[in-house]
Formats: sequence, structure tokens, C-alpha cells
Amino acid sequence: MNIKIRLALASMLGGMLVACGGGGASTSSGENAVTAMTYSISGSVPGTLIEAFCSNGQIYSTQSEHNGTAQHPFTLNLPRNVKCRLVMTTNENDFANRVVTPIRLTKNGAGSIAFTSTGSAVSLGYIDLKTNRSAMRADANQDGVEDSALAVDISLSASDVGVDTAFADPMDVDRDGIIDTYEDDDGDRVPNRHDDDDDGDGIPDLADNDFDSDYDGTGDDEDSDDDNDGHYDGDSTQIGGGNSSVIVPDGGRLLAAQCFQCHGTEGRSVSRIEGLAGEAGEIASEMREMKYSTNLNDIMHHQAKGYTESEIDAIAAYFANKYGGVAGGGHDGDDD
Amino acid sequence: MNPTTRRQFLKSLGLATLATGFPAIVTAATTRPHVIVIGGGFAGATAAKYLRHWSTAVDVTLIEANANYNSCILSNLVLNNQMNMSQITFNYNVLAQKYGIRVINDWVNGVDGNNQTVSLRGGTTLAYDRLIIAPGVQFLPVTGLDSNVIPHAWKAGVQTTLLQQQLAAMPNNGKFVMTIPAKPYRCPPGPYERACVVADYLKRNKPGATVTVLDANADIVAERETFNHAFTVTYAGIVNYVPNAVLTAVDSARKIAHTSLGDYTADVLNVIPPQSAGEIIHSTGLANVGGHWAGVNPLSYESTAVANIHVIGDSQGTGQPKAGHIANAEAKVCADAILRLLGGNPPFAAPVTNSACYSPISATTASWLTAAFAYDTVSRTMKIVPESSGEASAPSRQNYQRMFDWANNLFADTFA
Repeated sequence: MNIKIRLALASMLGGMLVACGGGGASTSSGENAVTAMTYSISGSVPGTLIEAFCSNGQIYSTQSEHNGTAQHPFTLNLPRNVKCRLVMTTNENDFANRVVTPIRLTKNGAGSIAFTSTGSAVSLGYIDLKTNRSAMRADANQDGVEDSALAVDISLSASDVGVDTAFADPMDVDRDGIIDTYEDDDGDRVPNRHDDDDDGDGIPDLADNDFDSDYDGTGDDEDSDDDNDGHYDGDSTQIGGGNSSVIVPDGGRLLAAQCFQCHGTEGRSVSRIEGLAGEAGEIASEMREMKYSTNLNDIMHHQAKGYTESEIDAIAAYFANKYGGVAGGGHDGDDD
Repeated sequence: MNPTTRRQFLKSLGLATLATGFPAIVTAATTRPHVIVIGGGFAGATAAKYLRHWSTAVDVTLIEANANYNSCILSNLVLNNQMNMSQITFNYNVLAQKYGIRVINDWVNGVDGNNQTVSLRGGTTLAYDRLIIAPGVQFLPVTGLDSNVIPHAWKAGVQTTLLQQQLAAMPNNGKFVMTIPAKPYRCPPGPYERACVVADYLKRNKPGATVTVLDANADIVAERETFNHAFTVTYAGIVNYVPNAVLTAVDSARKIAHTSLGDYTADVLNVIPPQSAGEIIHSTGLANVGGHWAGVNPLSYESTAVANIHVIGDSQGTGQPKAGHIANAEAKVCADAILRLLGGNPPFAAPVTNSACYSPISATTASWLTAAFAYDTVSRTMKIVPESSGEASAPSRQNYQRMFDWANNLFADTFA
């Protein structure tokens, strides 16, 4: 599996891999420990499981403390400089009454479910989570997950605590403030994270292998050649530097820019579609392969047929010039 | 730019007095070309972004009437409650802050192509070296049609919400009737996609309800295999597809569509009116293709009617489809050409554009359609590369996920 896709999918698969149906299982492979590399996020809630889904692929979690009052304090230590998203669950062990509340942090007018800190603690104060389904703010699809993330203001936090202003969040593909693992893809009123069969196709998630990047009939989990270029995956291409000795033919910038609608500005994808930055050595060979292939059930196998050989070389040269690598139309040695 | 218009430009910025006192500023200012973009949809926003992404030596002003943009792409999913408008609403803050584009929320009163100025309703007059106009489409009048009662929902926003509310309030066994205008219109597969998405919603929520598709065209305009299968198999008994039904008038109060094939009474009526280039294209004298669309040179999208004015997106008349993805593609060709022209060089001689679109067929499946267009030196037009054109073999769940991946990169490439 291509590394970039693997990382992007980690957030999506994370829920599947730990889905147990038993409710709110803590999977804090990163322990809730204070170190020089962490900061704390704290507040008080009704009796609650607090989870943070972070862009390093880890899920951090803790339980609030029963302290004899209705407002139980909690503290969760999170890695510095890593984008995380908070989700809070009451009645986490009660399948029928579990209430999941995604948290959206707002600061000085900006808001996001994703946030970071370079070290300063974040204090959320009391968060009014609902503790039974009938009290939920809105749950149209009856999956026990609030339909909108609950806004919590952190404007008084230190300046190094920031809400993420990135345009798209790879953990929230449909941009609704509910991370993908807490969506209910198959409409069975069980969110993916608690669902053993997210897509409702009858195949348990652990055995299911639906996402097939290259449409070759082998799902990515089992496919060692996601892009079907005949070479095993394993991307080690570095992005950066550029290679000014690669001359971009006239029009190379404009031709390459036509890739950006789907692959992201300058080839930096904000979704699960493969990015092109750093892939100069592969672009020409893959485009040629798709140009002459007879697989017609793939957008790129059609699109590649819209470009001449010299246009393909001009596109590859553009990426080599910008990000480095060799655009000779061959393979770049790392077989990605 | 001639000195007179430059002075007007400075005056409009309130800098004229300041500039008089500091001649160095005038010198600096006169060396910087100014490009105005009217319209902040997929075409205009992309053009503004890429002009500045590719060159910091040009000043770019984006004039857009609204502070927010509601994407038509994915908006059919609001109708079956799979999305809400806030998920597909964008603003211009990133374009302003990251790319240094001056964003003005105002209406344009008029364009003076001879003096190269744009006057705004707010009273300001701006001078340009190059002007890009990307107003989208306007809807042509239909006898008896009141779109505040009978929504088109073909410009996303309040219209989309209105249609969604009407569908939600529709009784079981109710009749949803929609009309499709003769091509060309915005988003060729869009009406058929809507018929499928509404059928999916009715199937699950309104037992016995039906969808009647009154198409002015002789056959399904885009993704014929996919939609024909959806209408005759997936939604058999729900969707009734009627070709060659040309809308002649609407009874808005009684929800009746009068067509060349007879009258159709609905519980919810959705009339997508015939379309033409945005009003400003007509008032500026640019609608020289069939009286409806702006003729342009596809190497630069410069108008064939008025020099230094470029038209991209739904209003252009090159024959390329009218849709957000390819509007973004055209905008890049236009921005690249303008930067070359401002530097005294000709546009790139062999541009390629592409169109791609994922269409939801239900709440869990989607299809796709794609094509590449290349410049043909003989006819001097953009021509489809035949082997690049195709559609998905069947709707799938994976395509539904990829639809969001596609849209997220397109949204970001346009607005961020």
C-alpha cells in the first residue's frame, strides 16, 4: 500500500480496526502521560469518556473522575504540534444510551474540530454533554452521535493554542464536523467506530477490504501495488528542494495545473486522492501506462488519453523542477 | 494602462492625494498591472487565486456580490438530507489573506470596455488592465413561473433549502415533477442526478411517491447508460422519464407544468429554466454566440467582441460544458494567458482542459463522468479528445467516497 494513502486511511481504518461493538473501548496507544512533549487539555463534564483523534495516527483517551459532584474533572495529555480532534461520550458502556458529542473549538471567531498547541495547556471549563438520547441536541439519523459538533470557546487560551484553519480535514471527508469514524455510513444507527460492519455489506470490517485505489479487484489492504504500475508500493520519495536543472517546457506549468482540480494545488492533496508532489519519476510512466491501457472504468485511465507523450513529459518535468526527482519517464527507484 | 485610468484607479482607492505627496508611490503603482475579476464562483475564484499564485507582480481585485459562495457541486445531497448547506458554503477569506487578493463585496453597475473601467453600485469606479468576467448563468423568464414558489434550486443556497423543505413536506403518494431545459445548461448530468437523489429520498421516506422528469431534450444529455439504468431498473416504478417535453408555461399557484406533451400537475414542482450567460455579459455586449453566450479565444478566453475582457465559466461560448470543475480548468488557462499577455508574450498555444464530475445516484452510491479537451489549431476551438471521454461502468459505494475526495480537492484548489 502506498504510504501516503496508508496514512490517510489510518484515520478511516482506525475505527474499523478497534470496532468492538462493546462500547467506547479506549485505545490509547499513546498513553495519557505527562512528558516534555505533551500539553494538557482539561475541563469538567458529566461522567464521560474523552477521546482525541490525532493526525499522528494515535487515539488518546481518558475517563472523567467521579468526584462526588455532577461536574467530573478530566485531564488528557496530548502531543505538542499534532493536530487532534476531541470526541466525548457519555454512558460509553451502555450501547442503547450512549451519547457521542464531537467538540468544535472556537477561538476569536475561528472554529474547527481540529486544534494544536505548542505546549500551553488548554482549559475548556464545564462542557454540558447530554447523558441520554432524548436530551440530545439533534440526532436525525438516530445513531447516538450529535449531528453537529458542540462549540466550546477557547479564546482565553494561550496564543500558541490554535484552532486549525486548514481547508479540509482528512479525518472529516464530508466536512460536517463529525470525524469519519463517528459517521454512520450504512445507516444502521450504529456509528462506524462501534460498528463491526461499517458499510453494511455483510462482511465484517476486519475481513472487509473495499477500498480499491486502482480498481484491480484487490482491495488496498491486500494490494501491494496500489497504482497498478507493476512495481511494489513503498513510497520513500522526498518532497522538497526541486531540481532546477530540469527545464520545464513551455506550457508545463499550465498543463500540470490541470491535475490540481483532483490532486490538490501544486499536487498537494487534501483528501484521499493521491498527491503528486514528489512523484515526478512516476508521473510520466504511470500516465503512459494509463494512456495505453484498456481499463476504462477509471477516470485517470480516460484522462491520460487526453494528453500527448510530449505533454506528459512536460507535466513530469514541471513536478521534477518544483519538487525534485527525475522526470525521465522511467521509474524513480522506489517503486511507489 | 494609460495614466488617466491609473489616476482614476488611485482615486478610487482614496490614494490620489497621498500619491501626490509621494511621487515614488505613483511610480511604483504605475508599474503594477491590475486585473479585476467579476464573480467569485469556481471560475472567478480560481482565476483570482492562480493569477496571484503564479505572480506577485500583478494586483488582483475580486468583485463578488455575496460574502459567501454556496457550491452547486454536492448541493443535490441537501435534497435527500445527506448534506447541509454549511458544508458546501465557502468564503473568500483565504483568497484575501493568503493570496493578497482584494475582495470587494458589491454589485457591478457597468463595464466600460473602451476606458477599461468597472463601476460599482457602491459608487466606486475601478480601472483595469485586464478584466475577467465570470458571472455564471442567468435564468430566462418562463410564462407564469415564480421561482420563489416553484424553486429551480439551480443556484445553490436559499433555493436549495426551499426545494428540500418542499420535499420534506410532500405527502406519501405525492408527485415530484421536474423540468429540464434544452441544452446547453449548467451542469449537464445535474438534472438526472437530482432525479435519482430525489427518487432515493422518496423511496425511503414517502411511500408511493413518484418522480416525473420532463426533458426538453430528445434523450438523456449526459451519462446516458448510468441514468437510463437508474430510471428503468434502480428506480423502476418511481421515475418516469419523458423526453421531448418542452416547457411552455407554468401555473405556479396550482403547481402545473404546461409542456409540448401536455400538462403535468405536481405536489412539488421543480422548474429548471432555460439559461443564458449572466446579465453583465449581455449588457457589456459580449453575448455574440447565438445571442446567449460569450464568444472567446480559447487560448486566453479573451472576448471576441471587446478587447482586454476575458470570459470564463458557464458564460463562455466555447462549447465546453458549463460546470464547476472545468470552470476551474478554464480559469487556469485564462490566468496563465493574462500573465503572459501582460508580459508582452502570446498565450500558450496548446492548452488542455478537463471535465470531471461525480454524480450521486443514491444516498450511498455515485457514478462519474469525465473528458479532456484539447485546442484544435484548425478550427481554433477546444475539442473533446474522444478516447478521453467516459463514464463509470456502474454506480458504486467507492465512487460515493471518491466523490467527497474529488470535491474536497476541487473546493480547496478554488477557494484556498
